[in-house]
Amino acid sequence: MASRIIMPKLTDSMEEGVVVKWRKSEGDHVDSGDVLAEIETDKAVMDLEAFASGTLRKILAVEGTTVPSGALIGVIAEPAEDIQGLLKEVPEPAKKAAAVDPTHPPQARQDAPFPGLEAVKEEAMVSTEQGEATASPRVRTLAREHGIDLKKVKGSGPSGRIVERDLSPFLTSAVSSQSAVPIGKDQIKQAGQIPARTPTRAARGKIVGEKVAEGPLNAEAEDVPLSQIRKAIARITTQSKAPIPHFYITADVDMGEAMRMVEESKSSRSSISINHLVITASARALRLHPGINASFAGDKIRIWRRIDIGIAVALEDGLIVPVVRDCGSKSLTEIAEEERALVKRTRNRELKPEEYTAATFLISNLGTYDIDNFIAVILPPAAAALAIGSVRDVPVVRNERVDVGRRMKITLSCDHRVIDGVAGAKFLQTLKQELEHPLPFLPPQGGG
Amino acid sequence: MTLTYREALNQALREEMRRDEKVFLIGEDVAYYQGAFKVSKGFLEEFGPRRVVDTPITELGFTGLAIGAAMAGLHPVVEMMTFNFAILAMDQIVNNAAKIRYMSGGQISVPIVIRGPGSAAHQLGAQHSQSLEASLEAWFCDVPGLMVVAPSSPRDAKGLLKTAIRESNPVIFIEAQLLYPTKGEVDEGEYLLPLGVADIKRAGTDVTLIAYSKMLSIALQAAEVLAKDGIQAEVVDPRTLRPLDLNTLAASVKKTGKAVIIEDGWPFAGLGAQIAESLYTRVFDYLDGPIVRVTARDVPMPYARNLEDAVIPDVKRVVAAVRTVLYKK
Repeated sequence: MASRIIMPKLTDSMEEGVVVKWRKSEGDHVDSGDVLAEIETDKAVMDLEAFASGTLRKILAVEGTTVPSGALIGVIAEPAEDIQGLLKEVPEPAKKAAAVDPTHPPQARQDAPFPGLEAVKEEAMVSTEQGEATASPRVRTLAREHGIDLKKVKGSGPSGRIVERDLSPFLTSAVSSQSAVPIGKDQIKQAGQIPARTPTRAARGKIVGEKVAEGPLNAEAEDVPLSQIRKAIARITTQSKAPIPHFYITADVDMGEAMRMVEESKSSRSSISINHLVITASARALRLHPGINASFAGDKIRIWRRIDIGIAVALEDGLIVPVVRDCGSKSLTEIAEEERALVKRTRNRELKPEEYTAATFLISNLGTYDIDNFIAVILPPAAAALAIGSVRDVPVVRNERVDVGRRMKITLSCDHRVIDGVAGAKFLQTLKQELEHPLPFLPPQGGG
Repeated sequence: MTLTYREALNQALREEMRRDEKVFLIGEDVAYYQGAFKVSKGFLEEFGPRRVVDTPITELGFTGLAIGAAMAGLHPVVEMMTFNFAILAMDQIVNNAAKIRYMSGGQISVPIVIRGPGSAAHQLGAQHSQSLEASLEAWFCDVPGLMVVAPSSPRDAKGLLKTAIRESNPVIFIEAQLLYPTKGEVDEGEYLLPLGVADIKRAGTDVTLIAYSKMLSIALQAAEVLAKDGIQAEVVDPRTLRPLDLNTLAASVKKTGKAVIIEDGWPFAGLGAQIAESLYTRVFDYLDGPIVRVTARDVPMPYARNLEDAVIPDVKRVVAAVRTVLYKK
């Protein structure tokens, strides 16, 4: 028997969800309980499980689309079963939109008085075509939050506008009815779908465990909606920090030589930065310590042959980690050119997903922000992340004399499932030596 | 300690000039006459004519001179006898003070304060009495690179002027003629108040009144009248008009759902229009009705007292506006 796959309503506040990824393709056999797709709600990404067995006959929402809760996104049925009847309910988006007749543009009001105080009383009276009473934006928000049907509310504002005071009798009753009838779960069951990890519900229908910290004074906070990149950062960092047992090792690096190279390169055609030196030095150190260029793979440790280094690049609304591939076989100049191009394309948001995933080692540099030292979060599949602080002029003792040294703190975050303390320390020692004695900078051939 | 607004400004300037010898005061009648409104009383005696500089009636000239001094490393405080005359210096303020830092790629800062009384006083006529904190001030607020401050109380005046003098960017500091004699509590000793931070002058739940400088007292008086009617108005003073502390304003409007903006400048393209637009963008879904502005009437300031009173916002008009947004008859 055919079974409908719908976009579930997982929380009271969920009105739509994004189909992030289909884990099954059309024609695949599915068993009840199989994960069909990953659904991104307003709070998290969750697995959508099949509630019936059969063949996934039709996928109606392509990956990346946002679909209202309750809408049909696919059909499971027997291979030969007729599913045309079910497919008819696919919504036709935006059918009613843009119904403005171009030959009759809306007339500008000629009689509008100067927008002073007196004008407000008249101007504010806007009513819909059907002559229905309007509601203030605040009322619409409250109605949505408390599940109040505005058709039942009589408005006392101008032209019958529903204003906040008109809602007061409904606000108390709405709360009690909401706690009596939990929305969401039942609808999902009826529709034949249940999410894999149905979160525990608190009395008011909020997801426990992802509950937003609510301060005592709500009026003093401001809620900023999560961008897709911010959602991704929240997901990825939590998935890293929670399961991966991090530990950290810090070293102090003498950057005197390295800084001289950076300065000297400024006059050449392709200048180099501290980042370029750190990537190159890390690649050389990783070649000598392959156990750091590795991943935890459940029942084994996977040591990568290629050294792919991810660089954290800050964007206005988050950060992205573009990856310089195969650093082990590239020269400083090649790495510098590649990094510059990648960072530029990152800032222009031109990267393809394969350019910012699957780094085997990570570097995050906050040195330009006058940061002494910090620790980075490991992003799997990498097992280590290197945090770079600022280069500082500090007193150092050299040949029994106090001298000015240029020092930089680097901190390695390690996945203890893969790397032990001594292994991490040895790697850091090599990296420190590489940075303190960089290979002479060779400008590109032919030019000048 | 109780001080007048005038004394608070005098203290702020004096403390800063004692603290840092790079700070100097320049303007018309600031030295021998001790300022047209006596803000620089006693300065010439204490700091001498090199740091308290009388100028000819040449706003464009002495403002440009001060901007040059700021670029060279001094911290000038320019007194405009009133902000009506700052119109003459607009080119220097907009094209040099506000832009030098940007155009020099951050190499040269212009740490200057341009201060003086702004808003309408009594019966000075259309050219000398205009509500510059909302009209001319809207001109200043339009310009990226300028900070604009308009304190409403002696305490704010002192703390904000001291911070403005220590700021490394140009600050337009607009006082009010009718506020100079008003008294208020001022903190003991030295203190600074941050720029860009609004202040809730009266807490309430039913409607948000947004007002600054001279109009703040109108808002507070209106709140008293409304309280007798059981309406609890929250009165928020932005204090700094650019950058505007939208977070505080938005939080208040989010709470009350209703807002009235009071400004004594002209209505069209006035600062209140910008504040309303910013609030609509931020808290549209929490508004229970349109934001209402109470502004000066859209005319040059009349000289006749009765007509002048009809132009400038008063308590009655604010109360009426609040009743409108609360949907009360």
